[in-house]
Amino acid sequence: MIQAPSVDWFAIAPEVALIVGAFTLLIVAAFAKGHERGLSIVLGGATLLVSGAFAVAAWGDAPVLTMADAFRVDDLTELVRITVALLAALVILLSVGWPRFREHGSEFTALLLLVCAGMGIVAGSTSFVTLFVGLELFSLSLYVLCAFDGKSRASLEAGFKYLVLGTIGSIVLVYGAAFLYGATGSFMYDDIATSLAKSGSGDSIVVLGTALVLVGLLFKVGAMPFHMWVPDVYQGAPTQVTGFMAGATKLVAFVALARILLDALPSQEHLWSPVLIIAAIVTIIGGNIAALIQTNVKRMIAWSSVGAAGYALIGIIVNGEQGLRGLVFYLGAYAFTAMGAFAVIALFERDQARENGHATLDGMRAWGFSRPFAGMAMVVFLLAFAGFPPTAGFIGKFIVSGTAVTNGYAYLAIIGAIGSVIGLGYYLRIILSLYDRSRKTDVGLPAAPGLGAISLVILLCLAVVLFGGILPGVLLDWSGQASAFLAISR
Amino acid sequence: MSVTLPFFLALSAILFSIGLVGVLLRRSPLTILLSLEVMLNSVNVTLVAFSRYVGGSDGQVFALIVMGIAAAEVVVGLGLVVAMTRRTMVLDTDELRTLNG
Repeated sequence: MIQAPSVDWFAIAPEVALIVGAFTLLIVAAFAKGHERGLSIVLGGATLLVSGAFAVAAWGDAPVLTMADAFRVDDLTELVRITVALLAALVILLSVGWPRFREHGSEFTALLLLVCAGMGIVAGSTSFVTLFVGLELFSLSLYVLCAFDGKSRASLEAGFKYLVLGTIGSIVLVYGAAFLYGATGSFMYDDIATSLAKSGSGDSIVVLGTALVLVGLLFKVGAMPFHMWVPDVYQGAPTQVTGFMAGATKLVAFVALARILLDALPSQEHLWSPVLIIAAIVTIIGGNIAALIQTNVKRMIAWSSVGAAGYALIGIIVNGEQGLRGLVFYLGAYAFTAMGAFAVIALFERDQARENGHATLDGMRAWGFSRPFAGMAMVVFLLAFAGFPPTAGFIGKFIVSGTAVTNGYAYLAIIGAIGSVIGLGYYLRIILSLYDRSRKTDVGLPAAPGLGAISLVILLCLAVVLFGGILPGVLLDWSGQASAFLAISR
Repeated sequence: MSVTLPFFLALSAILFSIGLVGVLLRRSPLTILLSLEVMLNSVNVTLVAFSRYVGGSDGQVFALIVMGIAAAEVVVGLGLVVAMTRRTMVLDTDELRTLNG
């Protein structure tokens, strides 16, 4: 007779709330035709609020292991839950004036809530089984969200490409997990770690398993040479979904990567550390150089986010308290910077709705004069990407590079600096295009649909980016408190 | 001659390679989805084989979960293919070139 594992319902309340909310929204919307948009905003917002409130309430509590020890609720899990819920709320705000949202808002919002639930599960997983279920829950929902703009070929194409390449990544990851299971007899991270520490790590099955898991995870974080899906998917997806993916997916994928490498495979550090170092160097340089030659702004920022994954990898390579705190802070700051930048692009697309609406460098010429606030905000976000003070991006890069130097990885800090200088090249191209005096016109733009909501999103992101840059103390404390739960065994 | 663990691992490696080559070389989205399924099933073969080898039922349970998720993934994939056909996009991945650069 198999005993059902005991479940701590308070610990998993945020995910339960999100899933219940998603299905309630779908059912209610089926009976209330014509109120699609209002319902989605109210129910979606309320669900995210409840879920976030549960996560905030448990912040700082002692870690809880539940679901047969396969799910761990600690401050890192809570931080991911809160950040993801905030970003999802911003996505709903950005969608308010979107025509597709008026027709299919409930499906869009329900999928978004399921993505959040899946991300929470991934962030807290301590077993490859939980990890895979959460990963697929959020990935499958994201594939649909990417293809959600059914009128656009690019969106469908992005969804399909993401599905194929994302699934390959997941399969490689579970294939590796299967080999680790064969070598150790368990899917649990800590059991794998104890077993590997005892038996030694020379076994070819262990090496193969580690390699496959590593490849699968590098796929998910979008690091080179497994980055090929990132530019296509980011360019084709609806812009608010791109903003969400750039921040939330990256954060969650890195948390999963850190938990697996540090909790399950610490004995294999001699294997994965060199791989990550090479991946980080190639990613930082390659991502930034590829971004230089783009003409589409969405695609350009997609390439720059490939480069950003390289900086985050440095945090894991350096390891230890400092490196991991830098990792969490950098990714959190990056999430809001990316969301803000894509919100500005979303506003541009809304303005250009009658034309093709593609955010190319040429199309954006002198647009900064017509929308002064959004234009100036974009400048701040781009400076944050490049790592200029006084933005959160500067603090993030500063901590990551600083810890790299003090831990004997000075060459990684130098590579990072070179990447930033290359990055400055194309960030300046965007700024010069936005403020091209030769095309300046005095004709103001009419109010775009959902202008107020988009401006609110830009303002909130701007506030986070500047607050994190000028008074980083609080956010640094939170990052440190959360990252302390990584590599608990050391 | 008895069939032992290495045979199953070899079988799964062959299935995995066939699936991967299929995804990379085939042009029809439907065949690509099919190849993804072959890859997922290679994982299942590995899981069940190791489950027998290690003892205990963890691997078999995980294989069932993988099957369930594979089914969900095909549903989403086929949905996207239907949406692409409705948009009268040619079902040939060489033609998926709107996003390129």
